[in-house]
Amino acid sequence: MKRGIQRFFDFERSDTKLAAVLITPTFLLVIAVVAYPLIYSFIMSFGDVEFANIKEYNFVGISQFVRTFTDPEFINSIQVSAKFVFFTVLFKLVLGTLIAVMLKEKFIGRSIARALIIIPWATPFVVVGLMWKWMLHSKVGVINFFLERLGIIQDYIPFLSSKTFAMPFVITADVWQGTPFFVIIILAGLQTIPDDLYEAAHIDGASGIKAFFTITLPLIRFPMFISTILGTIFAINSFDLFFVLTKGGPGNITTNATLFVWNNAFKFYHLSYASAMSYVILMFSMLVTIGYVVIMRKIQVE
Amino acid sequence: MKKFIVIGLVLLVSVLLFASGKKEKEQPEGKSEFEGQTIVVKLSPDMAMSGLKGVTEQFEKEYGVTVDYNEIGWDVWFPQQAQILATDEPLDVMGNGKNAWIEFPDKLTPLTDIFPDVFDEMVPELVEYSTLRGEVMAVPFLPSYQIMFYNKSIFKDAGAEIPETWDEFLVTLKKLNDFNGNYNYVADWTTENYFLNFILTMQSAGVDEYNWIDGKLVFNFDDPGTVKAVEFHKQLLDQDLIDPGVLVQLQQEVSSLFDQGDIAMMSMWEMYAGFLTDEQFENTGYFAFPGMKAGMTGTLDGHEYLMIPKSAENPELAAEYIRYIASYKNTKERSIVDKSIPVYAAQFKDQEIIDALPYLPVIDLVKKNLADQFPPIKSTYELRIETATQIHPAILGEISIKEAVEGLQEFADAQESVPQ
Amino acid sequence: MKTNFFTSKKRKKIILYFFLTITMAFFLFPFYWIVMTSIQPKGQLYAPTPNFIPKNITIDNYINILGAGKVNIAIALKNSLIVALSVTVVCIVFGIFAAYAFARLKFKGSNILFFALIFAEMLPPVALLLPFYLIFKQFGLTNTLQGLVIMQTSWLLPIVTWILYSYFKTIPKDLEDSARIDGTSKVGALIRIIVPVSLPGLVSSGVICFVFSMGEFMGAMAIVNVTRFHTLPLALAQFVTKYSIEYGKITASAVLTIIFPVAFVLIFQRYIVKGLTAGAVKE
Repeated sequence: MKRGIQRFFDFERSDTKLAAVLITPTFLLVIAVVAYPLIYSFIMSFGDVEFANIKEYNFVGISQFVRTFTDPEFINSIQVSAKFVFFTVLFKLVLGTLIAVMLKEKFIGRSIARALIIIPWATPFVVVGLMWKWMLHSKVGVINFFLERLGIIQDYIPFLSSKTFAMPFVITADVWQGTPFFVIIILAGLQTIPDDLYEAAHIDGASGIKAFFTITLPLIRFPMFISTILGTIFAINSFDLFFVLTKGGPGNITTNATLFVWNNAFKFYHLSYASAMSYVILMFSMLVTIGYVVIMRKIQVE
Repeated sequence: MKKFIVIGLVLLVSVLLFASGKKEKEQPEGKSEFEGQTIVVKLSPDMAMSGLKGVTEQFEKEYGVTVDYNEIGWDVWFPQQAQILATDEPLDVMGNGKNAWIEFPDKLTPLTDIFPDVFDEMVPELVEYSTLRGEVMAVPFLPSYQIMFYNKSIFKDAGAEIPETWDEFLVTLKKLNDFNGNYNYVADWTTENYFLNFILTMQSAGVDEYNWIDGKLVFNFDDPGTVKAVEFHKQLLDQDLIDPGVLVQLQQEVSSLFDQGDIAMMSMWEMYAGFLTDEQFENTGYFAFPGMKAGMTGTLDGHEYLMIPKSAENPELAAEYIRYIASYKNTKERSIVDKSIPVYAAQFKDQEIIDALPYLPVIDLVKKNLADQFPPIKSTYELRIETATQIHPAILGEISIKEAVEGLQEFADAQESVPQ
Repeated sequence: MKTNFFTSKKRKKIILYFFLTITMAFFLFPFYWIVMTSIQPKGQLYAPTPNFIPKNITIDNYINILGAGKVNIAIALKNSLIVALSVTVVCIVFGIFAAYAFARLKFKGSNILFFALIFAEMLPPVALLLPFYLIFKQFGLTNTLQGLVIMQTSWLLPIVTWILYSYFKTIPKDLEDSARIDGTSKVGALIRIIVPVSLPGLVSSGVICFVFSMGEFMGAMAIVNVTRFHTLPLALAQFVTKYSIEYGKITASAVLTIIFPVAFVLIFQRYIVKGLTAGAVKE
């Protein structure tokens, strides 16, 4: 018996045995806490479960999925999500790259700047939301104050309840929180580029902006790509910021898909429909990710 | 540098542990049959107002019991109460609006036989309002009505009169706007809450939002009076009397606009009076929402109640707790401190309360014309959203009013009703 | 020619400092602003001109939220710290195991399992909330700190595994092999060679766990509905009522909420950059 145990724990010969032991805790947790709910909501999406009669399940086939494609509110929320994801990721990528390039230069206080720039990323979204809500206050908000003093606006604007400005400011708050993450990753990519490359380019007459496009950009495309993928997945699943900042308003201008699903589950009590919609969202996430991977492969081949 | 950060953190943690630890409950010295027992109470801070926590601590001391008392911010509490009721999570006392028994009628303990004496003394309409199929489902705790707030000094300076009809309202508003160059009427017309001001206006045109006809629920969104109500809203926008951005002003923003002191009128729950500073309170007056014709008016219920879910583990102590906090004495004190509406009929004649609540005459006037924030359908929240979806385009002139009210009527008719 | 070159270099510096100042102001001003808001008396917050340097300083808001008032942030902060630290430790330990298995061991199905893990990261959490609640209720884990730890750990493990996997991949295999020749076992090599070398990766994934856990809101809202187990994000919602938002108390709580994540990030800043980028930079 003792020998049997010893033999089982003899990992030297078989990788599989050791691997099995090592990955078991992770997979137990992920299966118990993620896979089971996933299957549960998958089954639920083919039924007609409402909150009040949570234990009654009638199979209704794919009708909940059909409903997702005909519900104008859901389609609107997908559009809101798409708009949000596109702009927030684009701004983070562009700003992140520019700031990373800036922070690569030598200047006094560089290490402090590099450290401080990470702080917004450490700020929880609920705090980000409340922080920006306060700064965007319609009467005493500091942003209204600045914009008025700079002569950009005439009167104070209730930004978060304005159809025109609500979305741009949700995006601004998200960009504020998320850009540092892009900066960190892209900056590290920049640091791997040897300086002689630039010197050589300078001799060839390529410097400044031209050097950026011919040397820098191709060499940091991998970190840019990774941060874009992660940023996109985070942005698709973004909830806290919308919940705190606008609750989807004004109207449904900022009701993104995640918030709409949440509303359906916890305010309208349509559990099955909410499950079906979340599967549609999951499909979009996967499509986007696969799309990125395909594009990346193509670029690498060229 | 890092060392300082670390030392600072360590200090902060120890301060925190001290701060969170020192409030250990002292062993209650009880003298009741419930001694040593526990109940769980959950409600929103809006309902608890300022003093409920203190009253609860008194209760614990007097009865020698432990109350697991939770005030949960409304945004978080709304989904959580549904989750608790739907899945029978143990909970002894729950604070919520009428939607709880409209949407989860079988999850609550009927209270008719538990508080007969209390219900006898409470305002009859409130008790009737919390009745479903002959059973009282909840104890009225914080009644709330939507009324008009006005800024006395602006009214005085502009020489404006308090309007009683819609026509007078337009005149007054024009006068006020011309006087200070602001849009002087604010109300929460956002998507989620448009429904509230909309049916309040319906009511003031003499239309009941719904009737029971032969046991069938019939909404009156296609009534000619409803069309008039939408026309009235449209007029406000068309004549440039209200801010074109009004469709998107959140409730908190509406009240903060009024707080600033440069806007003369707002439509708001009367309990907001409790949030005004002393100075603002002195300068604020109240009037009934104007009607289509003189003598008409309308209001909306925003009442909150105490309930005992069927999942309660200690319903007897829960009942005792409700009896204690909703006692004449405690609700009176709360009316005086927080300016909330009384729940007992006799309190309306209590001079101390009358002195504390300058808006009481207005409540008397409007409450006969009460509209129901939670009509007896299982999907009140969707009806609210749908109302804005249908009516907003009509007041913006994108579709005809007739089209809008018919669309809303069609949606309402398709909803599953909760038989009374 | 020479002066020309000099001036262009100088001009470049000026432009650089200009944009740097704007950037840092954009990212840091909000912090300055909430700190200022939190130490002003309520009356001053609604002054027509914002006070960039407060006239009267008060710590009333902090005293109020740390026990004297209706909402006690100290309890929430304690809960948040317990949960976040536990999540961090559990994630790192399990993450090391799993990442080592995927990075160094050859076994059947390793690719599929790895992709399954990454797939789990992409799931919209909103889809899982109610099932989460039902299962957790079954096991008596709702309204407990353990429940929060288990939930957040399961959400974070895939990404931690991924980061550590990328990091382990950058460690030369020879390092491990030479130790193995000396007679060290596989597990021994993992603990004695790989773990110390991958300190930056460990620290950065630890900080990610800590930061995420301190801010997690949606899941906590689904499984915790008693105030004594509220975490900070849930407790913050208490100050937003239907009628008003108490910005003084909110900003004071916000300062206490971010102080730990921010301090951790600053202390471990160097490691984070190294650790986070191991996977992203290599091609």
